[in-house]
Amino acid sequence: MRLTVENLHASLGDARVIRGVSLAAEGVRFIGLIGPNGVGKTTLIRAVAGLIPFSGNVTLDGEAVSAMSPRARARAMSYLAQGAGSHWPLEVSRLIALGRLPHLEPFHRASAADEAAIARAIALAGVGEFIGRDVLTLSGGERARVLLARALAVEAPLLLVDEPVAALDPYHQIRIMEVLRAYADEGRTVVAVLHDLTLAARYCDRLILLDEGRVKADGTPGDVLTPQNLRETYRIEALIGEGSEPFVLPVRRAE
Amino acid sequence: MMPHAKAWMVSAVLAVLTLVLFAASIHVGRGGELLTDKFATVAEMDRDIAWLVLTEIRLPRALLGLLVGASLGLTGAGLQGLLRNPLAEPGLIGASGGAAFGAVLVFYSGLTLSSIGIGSVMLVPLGGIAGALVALAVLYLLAGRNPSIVTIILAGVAISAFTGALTSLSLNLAPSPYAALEIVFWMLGSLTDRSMTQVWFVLPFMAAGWLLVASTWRALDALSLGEDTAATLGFSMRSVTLRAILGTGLAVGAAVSVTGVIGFVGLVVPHLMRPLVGQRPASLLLPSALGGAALVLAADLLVRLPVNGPELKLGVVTALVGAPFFLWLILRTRREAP
Amino acid sequence: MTRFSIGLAALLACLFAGVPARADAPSRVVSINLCSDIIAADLAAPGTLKSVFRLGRDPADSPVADILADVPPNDGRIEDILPFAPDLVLAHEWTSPFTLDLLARMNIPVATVKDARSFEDIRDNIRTIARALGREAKGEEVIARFDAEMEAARRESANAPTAILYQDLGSAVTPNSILGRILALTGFRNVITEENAVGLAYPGIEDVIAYRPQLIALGIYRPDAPSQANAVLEHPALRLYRERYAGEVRLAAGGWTCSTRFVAGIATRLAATHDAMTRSSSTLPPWEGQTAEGSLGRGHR
Repeated sequence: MRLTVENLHASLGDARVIRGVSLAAEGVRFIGLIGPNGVGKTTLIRAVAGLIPFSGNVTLDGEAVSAMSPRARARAMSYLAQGAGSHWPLEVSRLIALGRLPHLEPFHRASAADEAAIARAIALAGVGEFIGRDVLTLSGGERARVLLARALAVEAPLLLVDEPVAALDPYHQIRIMEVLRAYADEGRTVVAVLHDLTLAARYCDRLILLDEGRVKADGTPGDVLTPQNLRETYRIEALIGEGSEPFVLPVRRAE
Repeated sequence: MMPHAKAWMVSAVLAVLTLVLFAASIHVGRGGELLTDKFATVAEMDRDIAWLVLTEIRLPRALLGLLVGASLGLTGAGLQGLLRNPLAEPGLIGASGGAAFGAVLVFYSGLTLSSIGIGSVMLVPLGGIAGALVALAVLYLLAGRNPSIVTIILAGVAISAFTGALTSLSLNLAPSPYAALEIVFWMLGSLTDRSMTQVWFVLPFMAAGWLLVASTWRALDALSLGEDTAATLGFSMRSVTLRAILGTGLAVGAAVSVTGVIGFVGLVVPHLMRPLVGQRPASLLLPSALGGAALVLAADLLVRLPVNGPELKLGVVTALVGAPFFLWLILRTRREAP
Repeated sequence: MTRFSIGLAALLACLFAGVPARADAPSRVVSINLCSDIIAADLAAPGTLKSVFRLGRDPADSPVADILADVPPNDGRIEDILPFAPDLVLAHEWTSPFTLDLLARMNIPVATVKDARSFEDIRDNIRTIARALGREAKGEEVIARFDAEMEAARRESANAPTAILYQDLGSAVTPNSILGRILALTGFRNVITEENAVGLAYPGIEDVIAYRPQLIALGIYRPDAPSQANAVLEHPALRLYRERYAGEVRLAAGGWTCSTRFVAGIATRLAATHDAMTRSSSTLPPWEGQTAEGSLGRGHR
């Protein structure tokens, strides 16, 4: 699946947040969107998801996203909001089943294909043990996995996630990243907004560093996570480890 | 398939219950006397008169109880799904108050469009609908984007108080000498002595309202995950909101215009249904409609029990049950909220 | 302004000089109540009635509205009364006690009428006002005419037809009210048998039909003002019952807000209705489609 973004501009209120972002991804599996607070990562991902108006082009396999019907778009991309939750104390499997809504015909029950997709999502996210429970009684990490399973159930070629591991303990952070990696490995594209640079370095195929609404760097983690980029964009000094288990350890603020 | 089967079973049981209560409503008169006793009389005139009572008094009363109850239950469940708030219902958020104001305005002004053959009786439901829609629009402006418990309740209180005051004012200024007394009818609701004419007038509006609200069923489920997620699942928030609010305005507006304000049904019934059919808003719609019909019919049977003296007002009965329930609900929700 | 200063002077004169209770017949009479308006219209000497209560001039409520058309209206409050410098005020037993108290303290004589529950009450009211006005002879004249009209309306009937007098708010008159007594006088049997202090019972439409009245007398009050109250009278079930099973007569309810000698007109109408009903009936019980003479239309609006 080919995702292209051309010269995207987006505003929040009067402020111009995204000022001309372009990127192209083909065959790239797991893209991490990184950058300091307030540079527009969430705005960018929401613009691609179609939640806020933007100028510029976003195409999936050549088809303009803005030209798609809401249902076609919903089948083409799945979105997991930051800090996503449920307003009602839904049972876990019913909540995950909501991910199939874009595929359900108007007056038809869920089909066998839908049930299979739900089962796959449950297995992938490892939430089978919670079936039958009320989602609001789960811990933060468990609930995050359930909501992620909902987004996986859509089985869209493009998955957009906004800070999926914020406020989670290390175990769940790693677990969620593994699920996203597995989903991407099934042949789909995942774009995730991330704050944790170690996780981004370890799991993403490609990183896009945003600074003040523009793309500052775009490439492999090794290319993007350089001391200079960290100093200029994040304004920190950090220890950077490379190899099969890379890490980025912030040490102090840069002068 | 189990959850679905259970939901259908609950609806089936409720449908049967509603039919039984409907039959009872036709059957039982003041103080508990039965219509069959009248039919058993040999004299032809008595049978004719019993038939008259059946078709012109009992039938419209039972039908309106059913239709109004279903409207209140359905719109209550729909509003709770739309606003993601278990305390939403047409009475509490001011839609019923707005409807009463609109209906009173049209009714007592004797407004007619006799030039195109529309009498004042036909315009009253339209007045109620217009009033309900305005109240809902104001509520959505105040609380739609951020439907927290406090905002919803405050907005609803404000709208209810304001429309109540306007209704009272209109009644004071009305040319009819009884208008000031009739506020009791409008504010407390009654099914007494309604006619089939009224049933025919409100039925199309209610049916249209039901269809609109019901059409949002899947969107309401998606809304459990938040507006953004619902949008990315393929639902247009504007369309959903418009349909839910328009449908509520039509159904509740028409209902209130013939029976006055009957409160708390839309609040209580979905809550009674949740333990039975689950928390998903979509699965609550049909059971809430049936449960609402059953509840109003049951309450209307209760008001007939006093043998001497006037009948109780329907809204009094529903408030006696509903208001304590509402308070308990607030306490429970506040305790759970951080 | 001028009237006010006259009133103020009169007030001060009253307070300081002390108006004698009753020197001769009052010449500046102010009525602050509809019921006393109506009686005063009959009894007051020409030119002595200086002001009447607002409703006394409303044709929907007052049978003497045209007579009182030239008399200035008041709203029954002290500041309305004083500008007329009254030497007699006509009120009702239920007039605000504050108003009555104030009038007493200003030494303005007040005569009150009471709620009439019987024909004797009507006569008493006339006598009270007549005495206060110093027109006893005129009072007896009015009473005599009232008695004559009522006597002319008396009907006996071995087979008194059953009747109900149904009016706005779904209220029906009880036997111990004036209208209930008129029903009895004109030869009808009221299907309402309970008696209470108010004089009204509230049967629902179904109950009304269950009583099987042979005559339904409808009290029509302000027919052009829409209200739930008079909508009850036009309920389809009631209309069908009237068309098929009962006689009907429509009475203008404006005539009985206060029970005065004018209820005799109601009695006359009902007596005529009784004549029409009994003339064409045989000894058989309930017939169908019988009309009552004197009714305006047959249940059609």
